Amino acid sequence: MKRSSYPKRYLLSAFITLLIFFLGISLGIIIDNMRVSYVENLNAQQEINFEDLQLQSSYINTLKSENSSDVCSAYQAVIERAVGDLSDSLAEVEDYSQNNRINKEDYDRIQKKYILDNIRYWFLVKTAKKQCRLNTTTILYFYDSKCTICPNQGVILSYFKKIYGNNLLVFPINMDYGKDLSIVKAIKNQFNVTSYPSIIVNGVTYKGVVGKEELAGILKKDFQEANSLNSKDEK
Amino acid sequence: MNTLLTVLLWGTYLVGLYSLIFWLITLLNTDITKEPKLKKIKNWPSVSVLIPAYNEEKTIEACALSALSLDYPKDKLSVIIINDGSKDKTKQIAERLAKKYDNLRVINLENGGKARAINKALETVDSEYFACLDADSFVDRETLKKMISIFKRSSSKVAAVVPAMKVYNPKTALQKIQDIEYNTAILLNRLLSELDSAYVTPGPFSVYKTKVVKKIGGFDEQSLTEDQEIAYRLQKNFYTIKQCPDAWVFTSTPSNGRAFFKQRRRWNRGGIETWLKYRRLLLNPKYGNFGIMQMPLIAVGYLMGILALVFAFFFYIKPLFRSIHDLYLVNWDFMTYIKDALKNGLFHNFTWLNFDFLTFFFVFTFSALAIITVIYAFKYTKEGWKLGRILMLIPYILLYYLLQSVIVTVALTETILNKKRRW
Repeated sequence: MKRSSYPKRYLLSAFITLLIFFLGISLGIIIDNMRVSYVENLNAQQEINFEDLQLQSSYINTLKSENSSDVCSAYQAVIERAVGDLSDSLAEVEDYSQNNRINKEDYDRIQKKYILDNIRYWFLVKTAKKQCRLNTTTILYFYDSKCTICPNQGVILSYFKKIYGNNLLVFPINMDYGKDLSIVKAIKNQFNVTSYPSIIVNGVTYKGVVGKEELAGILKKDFQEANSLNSKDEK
Repeated sequence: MNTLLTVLLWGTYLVGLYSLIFWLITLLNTDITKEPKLKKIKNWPSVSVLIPAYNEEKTIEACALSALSLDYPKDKLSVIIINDGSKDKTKQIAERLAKKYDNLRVINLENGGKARAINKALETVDSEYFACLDADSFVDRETLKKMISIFKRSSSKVAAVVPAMKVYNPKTALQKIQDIEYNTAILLNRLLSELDSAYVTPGPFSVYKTKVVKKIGGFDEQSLTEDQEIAYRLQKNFYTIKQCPDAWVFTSTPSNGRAFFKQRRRWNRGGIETWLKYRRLLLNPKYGNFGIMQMPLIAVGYLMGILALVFAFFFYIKPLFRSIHDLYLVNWDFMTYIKDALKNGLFHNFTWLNFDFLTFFFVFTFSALAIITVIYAFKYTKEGWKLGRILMLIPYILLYYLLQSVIVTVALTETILNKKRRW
């Protein structure tokens, strides 16, 4: 005796399943394209901000001996906001790396661009700090995906970012993408960065994961120096 | 590992989605709103209700009384309590009841397991049908007539009819979650009945054709789950199992984790052993839907138990440990994070960039289908929605299946290692 089976129903179910599955995949692709255009948008915005800042920097340089404090205070606000934006969008790009599954090439390009942006801002803030005595500390943070303890450093850095807000500027350099860039190589050589994670705070290189207490001490010292310089200046 | 995990995840997703859609199509093809009306039968056939009991002094009286007060011609209904060597007062209670009711008799045996107890009683039974009733379950007055009607209206190939099981008086949270599960199972069993794919004739009040069960050799005394074994054996011999969707039976369920673990471990172990015993039915077109769909789905179900644990590790446990480790790195200063969240809002970082579409799609489609199924099931079993029940859906979806996967994994490991079986 033969029992009943429903081959048509099996096929229909398979069809609907695949339909839902491919709907999911297509939505995924659409969202991924949205992501790329979103990042490109951010890039364009950063470009304008950067040029704006660069112009302001040159402008302050021309004022030099004259009283530049008015311009400086405005400049400080702008630079803090701009760098804050940059680090936010970087955090987003980081998340993107975990969720992105399709657009590998676009992603590589965006990552390299961000590294260059980061280094540009890092320079700019260094100069601005001298010119305008900004109460700001910069950290250049080197890491790569092969390094298993690097996420620990990342957690500690974003913790301090939450405490100091825009007064602490962290510029992460993902060496997976940065290793071919000659400016990155030059900075690596100058500051003797040989292993990851490494952070550069105020010109000093620290290798390995810098723990919470140690970094708190380093940052505190750095902010005090900046403050004392400012107060000396006022006298 | 990540690629493998992704492939496994999507594979599981596709199989799960496929079976859900298959059942939904079956549901749409089945007119389940139309209830089978009671057939007007002049000559009701004779039925014996067998109640195997081992140390059931708490529930045996209520159970036997529910069987005795079934709405059924008294001369056609006999109840047999099989005392399987109980060490408590089961024997005294049963014998006291036997004195009071003419159509109740007691068989006293040395302890030897439920299947043997039923087989021994079957030797003395010559009624056309018999029902097995677990001593911790209670049957609704109308149930038997409804179930016999199913036999009378269906083809002669129907050898067993299964009831609609509900949880008796759910009190603890675990019982309330099982209440959701049992109600959903009623709907699922209805669909399996449509597809001729039932793989269990549950202990609480399944009705069998006496002749057929005797012909195929009675219940398997070696099996841990004789109610699954007999269902597979009926399927193997080309008999049909039907469900009676409104034949209510109320069964006691484990109230605490320990008892639950013990019960489900036995069910899963017995289920796996039975499946392996009848593995030749797998993909065998002679067995129709049961061979082509149900047998693979049962196996996939067991394998998914293990996979669910793997996924739980990567998606629940690993992130949890990661967060704890992160807090350890900053000397447990979680106030900074709380302050930040209060200041900026929890989702201030949200953009299209960090939106994890895969997880969202996965969770969304499954939860939606699961919730639709549960709502439909409760409508079907005529249960209302109370706040308590809606709240229980959360642990039911998030935790209950995880707990089940742990038990399935234990049962599978034990089967593979061929560990000594325990009841």
